Amino acid sequence: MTASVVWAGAPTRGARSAWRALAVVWRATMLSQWRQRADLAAAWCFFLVVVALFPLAVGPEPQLLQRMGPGVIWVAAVLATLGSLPRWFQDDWQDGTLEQMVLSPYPLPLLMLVKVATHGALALLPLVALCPVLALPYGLGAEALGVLMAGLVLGLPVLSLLGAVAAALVLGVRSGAVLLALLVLPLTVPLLVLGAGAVGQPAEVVTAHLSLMAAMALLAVVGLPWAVASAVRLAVEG
Amino acid sequence: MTTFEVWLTMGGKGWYVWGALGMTLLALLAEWWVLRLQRRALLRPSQDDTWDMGLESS
Amino acid sequence: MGTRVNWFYFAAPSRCYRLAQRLQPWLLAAALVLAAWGLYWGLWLAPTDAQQGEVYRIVFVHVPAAWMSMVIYLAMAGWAAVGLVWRSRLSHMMAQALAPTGALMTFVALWTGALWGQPTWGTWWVWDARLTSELLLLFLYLGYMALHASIEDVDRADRAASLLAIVGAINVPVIYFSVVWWNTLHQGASIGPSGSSMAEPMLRALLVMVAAAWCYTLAAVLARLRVILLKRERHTAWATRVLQAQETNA
Repeated sequence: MTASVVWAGAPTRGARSAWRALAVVWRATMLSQWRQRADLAAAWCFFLVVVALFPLAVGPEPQLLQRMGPGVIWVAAVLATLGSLPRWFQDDWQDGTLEQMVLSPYPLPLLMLVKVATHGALALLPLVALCPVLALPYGLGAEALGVLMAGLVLGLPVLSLLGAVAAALVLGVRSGAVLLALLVLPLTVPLLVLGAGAVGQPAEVVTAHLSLMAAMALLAVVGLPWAVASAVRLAVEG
Repeated sequence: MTTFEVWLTMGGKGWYVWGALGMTLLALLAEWWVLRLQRRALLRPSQDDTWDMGLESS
Repeated sequence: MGTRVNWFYFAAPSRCYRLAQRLQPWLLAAALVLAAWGLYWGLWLAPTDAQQGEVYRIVFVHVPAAWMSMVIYLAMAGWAAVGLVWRSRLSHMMAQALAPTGALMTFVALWTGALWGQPTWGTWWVWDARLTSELLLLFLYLGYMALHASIEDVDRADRAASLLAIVGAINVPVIYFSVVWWNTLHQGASIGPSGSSMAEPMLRALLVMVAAAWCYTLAAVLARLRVILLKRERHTAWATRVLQAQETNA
């Protein structure tokens, strides 16, 4: 049962069916990603390799690693998500599912929000789950680890949505993957600064950082799905 | 040293100041030169515009 | 009862082309005159700075370039929004014309900032909020230009790049303030070009240089807009006439 067949089974009228349409998007995305679980796992392994590479390059001095740790983990998480971005829309665009979503009577931003949330969660939450393991080589304490993981979770919406806008914009464009990096990475700077910068700071500063990230997450969820929908429409109709 | 000499060498840091000004001027001139190249390319019969910078063929 | 203003008069490519053609030489002349005046004032007349000596004079090029780089990005995002909302091709073309000049201004701001930083603070680069935001702004410009150049269909390229410009514009203040925050946390990086108050004659020279930068930017952008118009509208009657006239002159 391909994703597009799953999508075709969605009912077409009523508010309850709108919820069902969102559930269909979620299910279809999970299904297609499960079939590509090797690629997903590759992205997670990429994350691990990058995080493991840095101590080898900069030396084992514990103080240096402790200071660098959060930053390295954040950058690796961003790069791993960047690597998985091209696949978020590619298959659905090629087999026509995306076009069906655009043509459907349901609000496209909402459909895209669910799709992006699914992809983002699959790409990033496992990385968050791996953090306790990575705390050991970098000598991060329990508190630092907590701040790091909270930051990553709060940064997930912004990172996924910004990445999705860029991924939709470069659909079908030659050398899209490289262009994607150029488009996404500058926009992730606030997340890096706030997320990685929160670790090791006193409690009030941590609260401030995490509140700012939460605010950014809320703004992103409210505002960016429209941009994702516009970009998807451009790719489908353009 | 007279005032003019001090000014010319910018208090010893002449390379930085005049270098910055000169580099800016070069950059602006380069911009106009590229525009001139693009204008010239328009006048030729439409061919494969692979070498012009940033303007894709419509 | 007055005549109604037709705001869309210049939305026709041929009229816009002629307007740009007429304005351009005046703007360029104004830029040269203002720059000469501003540089004379700033480089020669303005007094030596108590702390920085003569090197501070780079500021007369660095600050206008930095301001223009941000103003141009806002203008670009503005035209991008107009293009998306009113579906006007010319607005997208204006945004496309602004980008390279904006990128150049950003590049000049970064370079002159480095040349100012080295003799003054001893380092070529400093991660203060403004230089870091300038660097990221350069990437935003390059991303816009790369995206537009990579998409084959011009209309899709216009709208995709405009969407990117708007998303980027919303992010620029976020990026700026997050780096300011980052700097206040890490005190070591706070040395750098801070918003120091300037003496009166220096400020006036700076404003003249900013005006010169505005005129230059408008001239360069209008020149590029003309090239883009001719290139895209090559098949129309007015463009063929212009090109033929230029060929006979050339």
